[in-house]
Amino acid sequence: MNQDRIDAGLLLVLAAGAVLVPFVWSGYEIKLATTITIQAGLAVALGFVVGPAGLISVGHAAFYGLAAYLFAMTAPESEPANVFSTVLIAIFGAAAFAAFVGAVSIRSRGLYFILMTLAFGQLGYHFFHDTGIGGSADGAYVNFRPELHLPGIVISLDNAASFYQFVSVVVLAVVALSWWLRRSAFGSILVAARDNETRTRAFGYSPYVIRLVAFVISGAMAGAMGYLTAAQHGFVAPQMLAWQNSATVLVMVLIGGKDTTSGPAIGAILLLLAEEILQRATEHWLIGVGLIVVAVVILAPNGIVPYLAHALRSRRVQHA
Amino acid sequence: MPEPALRASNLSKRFGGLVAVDRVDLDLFAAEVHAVIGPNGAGKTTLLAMLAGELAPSAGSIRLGGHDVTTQSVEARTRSGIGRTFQRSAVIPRFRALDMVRLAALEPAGLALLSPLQANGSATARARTALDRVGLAERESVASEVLSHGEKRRLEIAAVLALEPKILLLDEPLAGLGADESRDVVALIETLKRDCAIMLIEHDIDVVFALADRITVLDNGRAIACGAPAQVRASAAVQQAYLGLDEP
Repeated sequence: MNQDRIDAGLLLVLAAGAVLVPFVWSGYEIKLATTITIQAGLAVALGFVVGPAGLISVGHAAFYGLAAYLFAMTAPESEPANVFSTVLIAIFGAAAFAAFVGAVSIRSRGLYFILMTLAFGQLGYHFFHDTGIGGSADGAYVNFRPELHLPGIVISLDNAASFYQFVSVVVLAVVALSWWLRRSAFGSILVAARDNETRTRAFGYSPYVIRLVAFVISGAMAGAMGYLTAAQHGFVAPQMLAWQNSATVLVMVLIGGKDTTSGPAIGAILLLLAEEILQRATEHWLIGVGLIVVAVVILAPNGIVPYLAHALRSRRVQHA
Repeated sequence: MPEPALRASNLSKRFGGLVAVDRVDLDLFAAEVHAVIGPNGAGKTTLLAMLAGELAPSAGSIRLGGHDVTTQSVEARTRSGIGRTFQRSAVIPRFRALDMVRLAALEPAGLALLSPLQANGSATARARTALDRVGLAERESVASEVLSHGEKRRLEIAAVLALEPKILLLDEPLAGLGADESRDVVALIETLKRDCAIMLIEHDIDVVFALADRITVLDNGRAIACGAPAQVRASAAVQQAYLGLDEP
């Protein structure tokens, strides 16, 4: 079966699952589902540059964390913030930082690009960790969940189920944007520039500009996820920007399949569920998570979704 | 004399102490094939790379239709009307033949970038016309990397044609082709010169003398002769430096 069709089918299954969660889960499980959904959105955001653009960023946690801090710093102390005003500041702040990091880093390729994004990410981490801004190493609090101010109605997101639904809508929007852009002419140019830069330039496209635009869009999407995390936990800390966070999301992207939209989301779901289950079973759960990642990389080096597509295609050929 | 479509004046390229191209003047006129020949290492591809914008000249200038494009990037020159093919086949892996040519044909403005390449009617029509012109219409759905070497070369030419260039820079278009495929490409180049000025780098001297309206001969980076094929063939300097004949 065609990988694009598998990808689309899996996205529909994920969307249906996201809709069903509040009906079948409650309490702790819905909070876990909220965390997983946000991380899946972050993985999709990163997957958009790792896949079609071929830009292996280990600095995306900086955009995620910066947006979280911007929300914490702009949210009122004694009343809930308005989602629309605060989310725009957070997303534009993350996008602006991504534009700066991208503009400087994208001329480097391969390992040097990785090192540049790593350096910028750590710069962001130390900015919040070592200066007095945002509470230094102690982090900062968001006292109230934001409210959704719609014409004639204010929707509180204080309830776990309503917040989950809000998160699902935002993440589905990010997934839809990534899906659409990957299939657009813009996405085709990104892939062409990744696979044959010289030829793409000879067609009149600037790989630098097109990659920078993709990097900024991806940074903005990561920022939206940072906003949601800050709203969920009511707390932000420098660790949100640390390279370990970027690397974990990169692992999600790679085990799910960087060349698909659903792959990074599935990678995030599997990794976080595995963590959750193994944590309950053993204190050495990290070893188990590591073994799962190694197994996936060996068995499905292109990721789980491309592996599924390949397996289904082979089965179809055998039956034909 | 008409205004040249592209004029390179006093063009030089140095790599440290090595002078790869040394004060070369070159005019390309519309509806003309201008061949650049010379032994390996003469500076032909370096000259082409400077005209295409891939290498910045150390000295000299390049004017396209009267406008100075010496400092313009490859992509800006492409949009200004310079198209090129490469010495080695350079298709885009995983792109079907039609999609690769569509990419070249796309006018990247406004919403065109946000809709799928396949949904762009004008790019598709231009791409199909170009594929038809090079004889690849029936191979449009084939992945570009599985085409034969000759088909890849024709696909590259189709992609460049979809750009509707005023100047076409062909870097050894016959390299690695069999006799039949070479004949097809030569016939194609003959038809292409109706639409644009062509600069041809080619090692097959028989093809060069059959196709070219004018020939520039490079040796050690310097233009040692320029003129009609008969003039160049008769030049003692060319015979000595390139054709390997001793002076009478």
